[in-house]
Amino acid sequence: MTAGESRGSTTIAPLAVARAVTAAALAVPGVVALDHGRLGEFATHGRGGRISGVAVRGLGAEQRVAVRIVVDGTMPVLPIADAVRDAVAATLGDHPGGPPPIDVHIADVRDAPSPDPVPASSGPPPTTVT
Amino acid sequence: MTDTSEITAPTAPKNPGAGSGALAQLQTSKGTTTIDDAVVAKVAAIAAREVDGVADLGGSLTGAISSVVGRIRGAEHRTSGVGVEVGARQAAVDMSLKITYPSPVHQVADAVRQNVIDRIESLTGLEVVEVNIAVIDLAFPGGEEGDEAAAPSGRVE
Repeated sequence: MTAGESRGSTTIAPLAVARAVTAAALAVPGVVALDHGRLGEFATHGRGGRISGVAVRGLGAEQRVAVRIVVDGTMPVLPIADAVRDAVAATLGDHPGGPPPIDVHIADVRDAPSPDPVPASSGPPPTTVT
Repeated sequence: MTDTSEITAPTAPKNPGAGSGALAQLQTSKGTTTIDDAVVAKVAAIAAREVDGVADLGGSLTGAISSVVGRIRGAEHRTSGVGVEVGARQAAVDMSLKITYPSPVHQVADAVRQNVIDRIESLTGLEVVEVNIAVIDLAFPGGEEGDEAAAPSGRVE
C-alpha cells in the first residue's frame, strides 16, 4: 500500500500485508487454518518468502485482499467470514482511505474444532512456506 | 508518485483449480464472502452420517476402493457420495446412501433429508431447494465390508 504524502510516500510490501492478514484471520474463533488452494497457488509472493492462503493484489487505493479460510464445521460459517473480514479490516485500519475490500472464501470445513486458536504472537505465522 | 500504473486492475482473485466453479457469493461494500462447493458437500456428508440407519455414503466407486480413498483422505470427510449444486443463494444436493438393514428406508431417507437441510441452512445460510437421495445398497451389520469396529465374525468368542 502506498500513502502519498507531500514529502514522500510510504509503501508496505504485499508480503507484509499478507503476514498481518494471516495473523488476524487465524486469531478469529472458528478459523482452523488458511487454505492455499488445490495446487498451493493461492499465495502472496514477495522478497522474503511467500504467505499461503492470502492474496494481496494492487497497491494503494486499488488494493484488494483475498483470504481463503478453513472453518470449524460445527459453527455457522457466514459469521466466521464476517468476523475475519472485521479482524483483517481492523488490522489494516490505517490503510489510506480505509481498509481495502477483503474477499473471504470459505474453502473447507473441518469437523474437529481446533483445541485453542493459533497464537498470533510474534514470529512467522505457521502458514509461511519457505 | 505511486507506481500503480504497472498494476493491472485488481480483478476477482483468480484461483484456478480451486473448487469446481459455482460459488455461493455474498457481496458487500467491504468485500465478498464465497463458500466453496466442497464446504456444502462436506456439511451434507457429515449431516447424513449422523442419522441412525445410514451405513455409508456411496459413490461411483466400489466399497473397497472408496474405503481406501477414505482412509487416505480422512474417512469422516468422505464426500464421494455427495454432489452439490450451489448458486448465489440456494443449494441443491444429490446423495447416494447405503442404509443399514433392517432400518426403514423411507424414514431414514426423510431423516437424512431433514438433517441435511437443517445443517446446510443453519451453517451456510444457503436455502436448500432439494435433497435427492438415492438408496443404492443395504448394509448388513457384521457383514464382510462393514466398519473396522465390527467384531470379528467368528462363531464364538
